[in-house]
Parts: sequence; C-alpha cells; structure tokens
Amino acid sequence: MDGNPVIQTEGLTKRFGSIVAVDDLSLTVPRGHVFGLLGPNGSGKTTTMGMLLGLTRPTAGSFRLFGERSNHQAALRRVGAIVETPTFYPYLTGRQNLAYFQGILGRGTAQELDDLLDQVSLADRADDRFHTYSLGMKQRLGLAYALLGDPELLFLDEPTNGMDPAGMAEMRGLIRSLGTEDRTVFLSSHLLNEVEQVCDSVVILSKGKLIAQGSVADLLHGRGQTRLRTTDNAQALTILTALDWVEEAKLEGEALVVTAPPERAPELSAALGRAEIYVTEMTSGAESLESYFLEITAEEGEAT
Amino acid sequence: MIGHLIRLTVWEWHKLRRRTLPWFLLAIVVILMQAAVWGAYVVHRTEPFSPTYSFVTSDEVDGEEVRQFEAEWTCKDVRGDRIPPEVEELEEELREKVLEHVADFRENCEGYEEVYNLTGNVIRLPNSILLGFTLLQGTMFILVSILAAASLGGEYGWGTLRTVLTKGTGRWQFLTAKLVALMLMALTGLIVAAASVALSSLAIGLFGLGGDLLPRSAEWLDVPLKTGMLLYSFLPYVMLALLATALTSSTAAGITAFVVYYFVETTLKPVLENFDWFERVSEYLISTNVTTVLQTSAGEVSVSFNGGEAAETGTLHAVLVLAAYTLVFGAAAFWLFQRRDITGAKGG
Repeated sequence: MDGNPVIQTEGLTKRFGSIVAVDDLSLTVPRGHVFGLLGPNGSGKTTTMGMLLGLTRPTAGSFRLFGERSNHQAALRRVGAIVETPTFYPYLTGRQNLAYFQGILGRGTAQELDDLLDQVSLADRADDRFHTYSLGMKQRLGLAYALLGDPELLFLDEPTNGMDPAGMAEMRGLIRSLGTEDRTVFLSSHLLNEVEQVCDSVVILSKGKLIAQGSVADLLHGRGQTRLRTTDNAQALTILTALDWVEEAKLEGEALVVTAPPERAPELSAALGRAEIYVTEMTSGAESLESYFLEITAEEGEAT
Repeated sequence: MIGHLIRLTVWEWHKLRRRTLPWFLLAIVVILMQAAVWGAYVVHRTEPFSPTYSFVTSDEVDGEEVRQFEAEWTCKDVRGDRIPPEVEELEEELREKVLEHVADFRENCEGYEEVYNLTGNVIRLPNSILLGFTLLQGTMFILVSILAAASLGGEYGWGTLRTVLTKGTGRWQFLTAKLVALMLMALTGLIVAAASVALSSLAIGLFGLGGDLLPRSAEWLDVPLKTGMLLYSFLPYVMLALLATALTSSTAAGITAFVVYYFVETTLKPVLENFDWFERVSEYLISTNVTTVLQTSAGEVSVSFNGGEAAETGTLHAVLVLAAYTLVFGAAAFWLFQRRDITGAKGG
C-alpha cells in the first residue's frame, strides 16, 4: 500500500430536486484495499458510485480518481465496474460482449477473454446469448467485464446479488483475492457479513451522509456485548451504567445487556461483587458489524 | 483521439450488424426496390394502361347485315409499322379500309408510346437504380430514422450505456461513433439495394426491352451523386431522432418525433399554402429543401419528397438549410447526451 489514495472526494453532493441523495461526502480510499460502502437502501451508495464513474453529474463538490481531477476519461480506463445489475447486449453472447468491450478499450487478447471466463466460471456458457443468462451468470459476466484490461480499481455494486450460496462464497473469495497491493476494490453490499468477511475498511452512509469510516477492526474495537443475569438486575444496571468505560447497559427481559470492551468483561463481575450483587450467568463476545451497523444507522435516523 | 474514434466506430458497426433490425430494414428496402423495378417491367410488358380500339365492319347481303371483320387492338398491336396479322389476310378492298383505321389508332397511341418508352427506359441501368431510390426515398427516411432511434434507444433500454461509459469511452466520442456507423450502415444499405436492382435490370435485359432510349436518361455519375444527396438529406432526420431519443431515453419517442414532424409537415403544408406569408416559411422547411436536393441528382425520374415542392431558391440554399437543421438538432442531441445522468435499464 502506498500513500496515494485512489479515490478522494471533497464535499461531494448530489440532489435530485428536493431529495439529497449524497450530502457533502468526503472520503479517501487508499490503494490496495478492499473498501466497503455500506448503507441502508436509499443511503446514496449507488449514486456515489455513479458520480465517481462519470454516470451522474455531482450537484456540488469534487472528486479525484488516481489523483486526476481533470482527465476523468483517462482515469476510467484504469477502472473496472459493475453498477447494480450488470447490463450487456442481449443479442450478443457472453464472449462477444466481452470482445466488444475489449475492442473499445483497444487492448487485450482472445486468450485474456478465455482466462477471464475461466476465472469467473462462465467458460461453458460463454457462447450463449446474454439474454439466456440467469442473474448469477450475469453477475459473473459482469465481474469478467470489470476485470477486462487488468484495472487498478474495481467498483463492485452488490456483486453477489442473485447468486446461490456456493456462488456467493466463490465470489467473495475471488473479491478478497482481487484486493492486492496493486489493486483496490470499492465494494458496495447490503450483505453485512459479506462486507465483514472481505473488506479491510468500511464507509457507512445513511441518508447520503457519511456516519462512520475506518477499518472493520477499528470500528468494532472496544465494542463487545456481554449478557448477564444477576441476583439484582435493577441495582446492577445502576452500578454498570455508572462505569465510564461501559458504553451502554440496558435490561432485556431477565438479562442485562452491556456494551463494553470484551476484554474488560471480568471487571463487570468484580464491580457487581463489590456491591454484593452476584452474577449467575454471563456470556460475552465481540459485536458483529451487522449489529454495529444497525445501531449506528438507527442512531442517525433518530438524530435527523 | 482519432484512433479511439475509429476503433469505437468499427466496434459500433460490429454491434449494429449483429442486430436483427438493420437486416430487417434492409430487406424492406430491397424488396420494395425490386417491386418498383419488376412492377415497371410488368407494366412495360403487359401494357395494362394501353388504350384499346374496337373495330367492326359489316355488309348487307340479301337484306341481312353480315359482319365482315371484327377486331380489338391495343397500342402494342400497331406499334411502329406493325399491322395486326389478321388484317394481312383480308381482301384488298377491305384491307385498305381497315388500314386507315389502323393508322388513325396509331396516331392516338402516340401519347401512350411515351409512357411505354418511359417504362422501358426506367428499367435500364442506371435509370433503374435512380427509379428505386426516388420512389422509395420517403420510406428510406422513415427506416433510417427508426434505425437511428433504435441504435441509441437500445442502449438506454438495455442499460448498456452505463456499461459502455464506465470503460472510459467518452460520451461525445461514443455518440459520434454511433452516428458514423449509422451513416455507414445507411450507405451500405443503399449500395446493397442498388446492386440488387442492377442485377434485376440485367436479368430483365436478357428478356428484352422495347421502347426508344430517351435523351434525358441518367448517367452513371448520377448514382453516386444521388446516393450522396440521399445520405446528406437523411442527416437532419437522423439528428432529430437522436435528439428525441437522448431527451426521453426511449426508442419509441425517437421514432415518434420523426413521424410527428413528418406528418405535421405533410398535413399542415397544403393548408398553410393558402397564406402568402407561408411561402417564405416553406423555403425553410426540411421537406421542401430535401426535395430540392434530391431533384438535383434525380436523373430522369423525380418525385417530390413528403409533398414538398422544390424550393425556388436553388440547391445551395437547400444544402445550407439542411446543414443548419443538422447542426441545430445535432448540437442539441450531443449537448443533452453529454450532460444527462445515466441511470439503469429502461426496459424498452
């Protein structure tokens, strides 16, 4: 990884009439990462990708690809992308579609096409027309298209959409392997476990605004949930809420749920013991990206 | 930059020729042009519009009227110095009498002979090619506009515009390549249609054609001239179709824009021609100027386009007016295409 970011946005904004799809978005994507773009439906993920790919004109703000602000067309020639469901010419075969895009790029060989079709496991259906493909096969062809010309930056918008579980696992492995030192993957997905499995860093959008950014490990660092049953839940709640390193404590039925660094779980028990409240049951674990995501987007929703 | 444009055009051509629509439209042009040539040949051979002459002469024998001779001729029977064979067999006195009628009828056929000569003449090369082009020019304008709208509208409908543009193709470069490929396809269509008509003319020539060669027959040079003028005349309509398609992201709207403009001109012109002020406006309508441009290269056969009379201001005026329409529609189409956001598949 070097210090030059592949994507930089400054105050990027897109409005459709009175609707603000992307609101003052500033982010930096370093080279050699699998970078996740997360957000609920309508949070502005696809619009952000559309602006970066030159499909949608920003209302305000600016962005750079590979440090280039002025020559976006040249920068795009170093990019591969799937935006939403991959779309190709229905009357052409998969191979003919790839040959067309290879042709307009002006580089590549027939061997490259064969290799790509093999890589995405589509070689046996490559000579069938695109309109006969299932959604999963369209996604595979989309990935082969995105990889044409060995791009340095890949935009993948919901790349496992429509795939069966085995195909999804295969695709995730492939995406993980694509994010090398020389190549950056900018991935948008609504499947949070997918993002957690394959991404190094994540940006979370809500209603067009960036609400969190960082590596998956950093975002979840210090965040764990411990479920407790005690001899006096009401008093335990008061004691635990008063601890400055406990982020949140709440009652859920017969149990207390405490959000705190998982490594400090034994201190919870000790603090309660000093007040002669005894723990009868305790389970502890790191918070998943999914629960973090749900929590942070809910907070954002309440704040607006 | 030029290399990129050429590459885009070549691949746009590959893409177009793999679609069913251009072949379907080409088949329509070829079939209609063949129908025009073979139709002219059928008219020439069978002479269905020839005047007829019925002749009956009788004599009174023993108080009863007896028919001496009865015949019905068409102009074909008396063409040139021809005498109907049944007349040759008559007795001298009756033969002289009938021959006077033959001479009278032959004089009446003179006007028709011009038609006969004309139908024979338009089937000969290169007149037949110009005949086909001229009779079908209205149809060709519709077909080319359909192809233009479908070529761009298909990209919106399938959502492939997004796939193309994210490869750094460049918007105006892509639209330019599409336009050039379209015009090359139209040129190829005209060449194929002309070649098919030429083959038919040669085949008909083997059966033999009657009639005198007319002095105003077309030259071979008229064929490329007419082809060039047709392509030039397509441009304003192609640009209009592209503009409407870029505006609405829809093939149907692109075709509709052409059809609406075409029929509004057709229906409003006869009404508006009753007003003096319209005379000046008419000089700047597309159809009027297309007619002027196409008549410049029509050779022997000329037909007005879309009811438009040729502009009296001349060919240069017509060429400039069509160029202005092309530039205005084209600039608007390119501007829109360059600026508009590209969304997903529209599905049609």
